[in-house]
Amino acid sequence: MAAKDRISRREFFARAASAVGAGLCAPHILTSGALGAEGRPPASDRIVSGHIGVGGRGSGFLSRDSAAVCDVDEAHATRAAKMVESNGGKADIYKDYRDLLDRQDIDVVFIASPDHWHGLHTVHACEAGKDVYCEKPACKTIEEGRAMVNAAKRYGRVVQIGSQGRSTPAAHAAAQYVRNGQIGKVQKVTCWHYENPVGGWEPDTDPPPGLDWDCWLGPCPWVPYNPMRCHFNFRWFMEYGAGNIRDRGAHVFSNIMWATDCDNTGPVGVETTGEPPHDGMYDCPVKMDVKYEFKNPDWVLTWSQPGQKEMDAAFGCKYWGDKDTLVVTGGDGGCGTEQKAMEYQVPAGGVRLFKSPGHEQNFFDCVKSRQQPIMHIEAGHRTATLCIIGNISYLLGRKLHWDPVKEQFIGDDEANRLLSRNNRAPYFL
Amino acid sequence: MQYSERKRFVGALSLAVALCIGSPKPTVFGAATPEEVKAFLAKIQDANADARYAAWKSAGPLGAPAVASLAQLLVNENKGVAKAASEALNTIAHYASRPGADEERRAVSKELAGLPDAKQPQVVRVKALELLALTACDDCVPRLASFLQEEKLRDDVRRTLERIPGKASVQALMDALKTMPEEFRPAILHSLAQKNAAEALDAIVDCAESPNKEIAIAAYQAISRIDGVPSRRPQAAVAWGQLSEREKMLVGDAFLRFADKRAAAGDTEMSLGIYRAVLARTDVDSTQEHFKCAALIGLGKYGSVSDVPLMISALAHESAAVRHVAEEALVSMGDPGMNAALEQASATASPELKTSVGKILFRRQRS
Repeated sequence: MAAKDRISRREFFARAASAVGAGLCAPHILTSGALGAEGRPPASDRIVSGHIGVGGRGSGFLSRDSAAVCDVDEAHATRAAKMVESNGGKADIYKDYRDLLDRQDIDVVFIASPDHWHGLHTVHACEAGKDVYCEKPACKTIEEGRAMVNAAKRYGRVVQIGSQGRSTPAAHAAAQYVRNGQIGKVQKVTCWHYENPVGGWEPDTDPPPGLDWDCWLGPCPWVPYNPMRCHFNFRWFMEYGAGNIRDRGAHVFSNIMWATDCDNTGPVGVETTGEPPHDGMYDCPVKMDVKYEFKNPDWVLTWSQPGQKEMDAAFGCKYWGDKDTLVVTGGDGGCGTEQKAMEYQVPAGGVRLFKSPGHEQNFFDCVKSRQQPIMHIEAGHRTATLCIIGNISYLLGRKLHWDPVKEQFIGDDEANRLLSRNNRAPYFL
Repeated sequence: MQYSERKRFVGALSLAVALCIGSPKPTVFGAATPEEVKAFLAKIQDANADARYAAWKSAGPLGAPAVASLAQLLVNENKGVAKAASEALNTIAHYASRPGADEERRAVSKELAGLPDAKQPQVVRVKALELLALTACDDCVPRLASFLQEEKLRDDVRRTLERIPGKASVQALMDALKTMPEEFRPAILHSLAQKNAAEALDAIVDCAESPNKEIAIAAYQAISRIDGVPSRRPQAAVAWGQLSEREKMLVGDAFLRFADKRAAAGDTEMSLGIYRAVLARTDVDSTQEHFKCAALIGLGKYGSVSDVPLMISALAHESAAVRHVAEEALVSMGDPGMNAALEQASATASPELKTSVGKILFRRQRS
């Protein structure tokens, strides 16, 4: 019997493109293996996916091969199931993500729940034997991030973090340009991003019908429902999204960590100043300045809201070397960089970085090959660490010294108490 | 004189007096006077949000004397004032918790510890507990633990005790394990695990023997997360066959975590037993292939040539993940007799396995 015939249906696949359903979900990436015949590939060639969090971004991962959708908001889950149906598939609806993870027919899980849920969902998915694509930022605390890494390693799972900038040609070109010394020794990297919103006040109300508010909060402290807290605007609360430094910073920093070869390390110091809204419900700093110190080699990373714009881009970063500079605009799926980097050809013996075929495609390829994806969980955790410790420095109002090996603050007991979250029962890692 | 200047002056004067005549140091170092607190509270209640922000931003040096009054403003009808009061309390707590400010921290914690009292509004009690999680130490624990009796506050108190370092909070949680309702015990077990409370292991083993599945599973999970070994093995009251698939996953994960922990601590005998048992089981079907992967990864790190036949059989598993992990584990194993063992196994293997083993030998020789 040929090896291909022996391999079970779950193991040998190509993912089909899905038609856009009602214009609501982005098209999935076509794989070369999917073409050749009209209609769906045979069942043995498909990856079956489950989806946790299908409101905004999460709906973009849906396809005909989505077997289950889970959301604490019934309206989101129902809409997502209809989208799958309109693409020729059928997705069961769940409210409790553990019921979805119990499904033995599901190979991979896409996690696009609010940020404060990413750690629990990913760890539990790995413990249930699933490979995971988890949206950025990877985690809310250092403890969660390390737990995600450990769970993936313990079970040999493939975990991709959704910092899709790494899969763009511009980020690849920029990282390769920097890694090959084209700007010389990196002395600093400066990031800019527009300010966080100020917000206002809304009265607390009962949650809308179909939204399980307690489940939405999950491990976070209980507060009454307020329409300003969810869905999208969770980003502007330190307890949930913690501002653009975690939201967009996870994108921008991921490319910087790649370009500077820091996926397995971190800074040794962080100092943040910021100004929160003077009124209203939001508590993320509207303006902020963060400075990270790296050692061996020595360089500095800064994140500024608003900072100094380059190339008229809303956000991005600039590398300052001892020979030259390089601007990278954006950092998410809409990355751009200077022509010199795009045109750069790596010489023989130079550093060649893996070029991703696309972030989701890379994930599926790795599910098959069992190799590490381009934004594997260790890299995701290290990137999120920058965001987290930057915010901790802001909260405590002081400079902090960080040990990137032990992943602890040095000489600051209060800061170290914030490395983990004291989760509300029963939402435990 | 601004209260920050007063703090420096009072501090210097106090030190000079103490050095000269040996008088005791002030119990609250450089904190604000009642007049300064009153003036500050007026600013926190200003109609202008910018003025309130300026006040809360500079609240740190006010210290303990401001805590109780600010707490009362948490229920102010004006949400902006309540917010400013909350932020001011945050600033005071973080300022007092800076390195080298232990006296200030104790003073602030003492004030906060008075606030979870039943006569206070719930929002005040919860806020106090939130900040005590960051500022409190052993001395506050007995008072805090007394609030575990109140169902409405219980989980907030548990979360606070979970974050407070030291032995007192561990003891409080261990005491709670005996006295709290059954439905709350899994949460306490989780907190003990978070605190890496090795002294609680034997008490946790008692819970692992509970006929209440939720408690028993939480206990197994806690044992697997704490550094250390209990003095005895639990005698499970619930048989493996009585567990649901989800429960089997949780318990299986606990065993594999325990194995990884013990192996990393140098106690490989127990761990290897677990890895070998998991890998050898035939009743674990392909849906628990990730358990096989975990066992292979463990054997790859800590196993020996005697594990080769078992690991080689995994090269033929229906799951690509298991096959991949088996290959990587066999490539990485450091036992000096590995190559000979692989060659010997290859001699009697099926043609397919011969190919896989050949690939492993080639990779080992290259590395």
